[in-house]
Order: sequence, then structure tokens, then C-alpha cells
Amino acid sequence: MNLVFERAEVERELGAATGEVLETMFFASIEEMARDRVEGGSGDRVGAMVAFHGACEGRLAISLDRGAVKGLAAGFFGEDAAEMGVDQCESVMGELANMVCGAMLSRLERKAIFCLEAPVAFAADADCGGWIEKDFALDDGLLHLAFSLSGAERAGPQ
Amino acid sequence: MAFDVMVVDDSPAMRRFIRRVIEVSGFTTGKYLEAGNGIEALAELDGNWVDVVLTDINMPVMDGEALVAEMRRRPHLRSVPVIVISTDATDARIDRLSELGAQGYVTKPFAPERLREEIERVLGVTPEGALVGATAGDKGGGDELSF
Repeated sequence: MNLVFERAEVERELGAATGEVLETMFFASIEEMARDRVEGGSGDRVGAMVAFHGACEGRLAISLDRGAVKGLAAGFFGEDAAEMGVDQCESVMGELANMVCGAMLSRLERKAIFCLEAPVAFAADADCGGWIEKDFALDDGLLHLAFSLSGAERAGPQ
Repeated sequence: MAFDVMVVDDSPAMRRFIRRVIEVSGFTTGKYLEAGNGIEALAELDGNWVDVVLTDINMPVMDGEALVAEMRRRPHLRSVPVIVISTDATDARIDRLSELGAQGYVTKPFAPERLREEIERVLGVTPEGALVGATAGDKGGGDELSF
């Protein structure tokens, strides 16, 4: 199967999947930020990336201010944010990346089979640019997403 | 009425989340077993009977599809209900797992109520022990869970 996605469609579904995952599983609401309004974060960020293959190949990388990750992890586990350690923060970011990526791919093509690899943590200050990048404001931090597809599967203006 | 449950997921965070949802749902668990992949799950299931298996799909060593297929091949595990919990909401994947013998499918993200409803449907009973579908008033489902 050779899937081709329009940029506008991917942007729309990435935003919708992110909102759905954060509201349903993390009890957090988000507001999309225009890219020209995004300012640099605190510098202490947690990153996670999930790669996928199957009907098409690519990856989703996300990063978020560490303080906000603690809040997300607390919502996910039902515990106090102060008790959330490094491992818990990284595993929750991995789950967030996994769920957003899976939900978005399912929205884009319901007839195909995708395989998501295990999420991996990465240094959030590393280059994680993508074909499509989005930023969402949470209550106490900025969530950055960078989605990439292999070149043959993109369509529309770059 | 206590249920014996196995959760199979390579993510400890997701296993912990699912356990919390089951507890909040009001189900009383007897044995609560966890495994990080299909091979670990089969090893546990060889010595432990459970009422239901909740499994992810994408896992290292042995994935969820292979686990369901192997459970259906083994006589002592053939009748154990399996509910798949996955980010993959594609029709192709859901159809494939159904053909392999999974009785339930919950796509992530999911509200706690959704997982409770699927467990009730597959087990045929509510957390309170009422038969699902006996009477609408007895079902106990559909309420928003305090999470």
C-alpha cells in the first residue's frame, strides 16, 4: 500500500489526536499556539520519540517542560506531582507520544496496518524538527510536536 | 465477586494506568498478573488461571497478535477471554484481532468508562456481580467514574 497524505490533513489530525489523548487520558486541556507566537521554553524539557512503519514510515517526536510533565504524570497515575520522578516522567512522555501517534495514524487511514515501535526518550534540546511541527499550550508548559513521514508519502506544499 | 486479571503491556506506565482504571471501575480483583510481552504472559498463564487477559499489540519478543493466536492454539487457554487495548484503531487491525479470537477491543485513548463497559460485556457481569443485560437498572454501567 502506498499512502499519500496531504499536509493540511495531517496537521488537522495531529491536532485532533493530541487534544483527544490529553483530554481523555491525562485530564488536561490544550490550546494550539501559532508558531510565530511560540517563545523558548525553560530549557529543562523532557523528550520522547516513537517511530512507525508498515503502510508508511515516519516518526513523531514530542517535548514538554519538565514541570508540566510532572503534572501530566500526576494526572495519569492519580498521584501527587511532587512524587513523580525522572523514570515516571519519561515513561509518561513515551506513552503520550505513542498514543498521539497511534491515534493520528488511525485517523488518517483506517484500512491500513501500522506498527509503532517502543517510544524512546531523547534529549529535548536535540534537533527534532519534522515535516509538520505544532505547539500546544498546557496550563504550565508548552508541548512541542514534530511529525515526519518518509518523503514519498507526503503531498502538498512543504 | 473477585476476578483474576492479567495485563500484558511492555509499558509499566500503561500497566499501572490500566490497573488504576480497573480499581476505579469497582471490579474486585483476586489475582492481578502483569507481563511485558506475549512470552512472559504465556509463561504466567501456564500456571495461573485468569478470567480475562487485557493485552497491548505492539510489544517486543512476542506481540499481542501472536499472543492471541497462541492462546487459541493451547487447549487450556482457548476459552480465556482476551480484550485488546491499543492505539491502533484501524479497521484492518481490529478485524485481524477479531479473526484471531480476541473478544474485545478498546482503542487508546479511552475514557475509564469505556474499559469498564468492555470488561462487563466480555465477562458478562458488572462490577456489582449483576449479569450484563439482565435488566437495565441492574447493569450499573454508563455512569461517569470518579477518577
